[in-house]
Amino acid sequence: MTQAKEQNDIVLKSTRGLLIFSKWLLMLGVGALSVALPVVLVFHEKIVTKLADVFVTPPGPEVVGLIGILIFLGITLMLLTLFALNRLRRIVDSVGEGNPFTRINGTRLRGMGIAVLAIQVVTFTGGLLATGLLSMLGEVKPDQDFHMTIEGSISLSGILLVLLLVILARIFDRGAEMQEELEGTI
Amino acid sequence: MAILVKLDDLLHDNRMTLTELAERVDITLANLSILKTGKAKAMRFSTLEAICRELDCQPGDLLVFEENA
Repeated sequence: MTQAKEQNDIVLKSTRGLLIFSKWLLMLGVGALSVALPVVLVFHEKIVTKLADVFVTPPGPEVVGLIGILIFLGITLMLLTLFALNRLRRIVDSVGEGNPFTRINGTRLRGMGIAVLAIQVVTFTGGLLATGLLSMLGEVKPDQDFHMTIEGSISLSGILLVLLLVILARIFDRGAEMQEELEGTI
Repeated sequence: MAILVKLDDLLHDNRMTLTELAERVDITLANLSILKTGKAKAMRFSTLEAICRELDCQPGDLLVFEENA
């Protein structure tokens, strides 16, 4: 095996390992948030009481509803990331098998592009809701140590990633066509 | 496909089997079968040259264009 191939294998193996680790981490996160969501809704009175200890203006029950929506968005975000990572893992596997230029990989990349776009939308919506939540909660009592800053802007790098994935999907489609042509050449 | 491959006829004229030709031109039998049945999408000049050499023919004898095929 050549040195370049060995290096390639290391890159592929580490990418695969990182993707598997991220997948389990995300599944753990989805599990934790799925437990947190009903807990927050069931114990909403206790949460309102605790928040009243921290903030000057006692928050209303709608704050808990907003926290619930944010947790739900968090779960959605993680599921979308899982969807994209699973597809990326399959693409990495096909690279390892030496046959990446297939139509299914083009479809996978397009799916990843849609997932990343959805992640951008969910992140932006979540950011807006969280900013709204912070303004609803108002000022923190002087004796409490609580700081939180939230940015709810559209990410340019995220949009670029979506475009890159869609273009890559087209490249893979063309690659698959060329591969089929090559296979039919005698 | 409008391009017809007349490999069967040429083999018959030369009294040669597909297996024999495959051995002579160093192309797998499976690939020659694809070519013979007209399922090939493209043909390399080197393949055409080898077949023409072994079957003592011109490219036009092997490949024929028929509009209604």
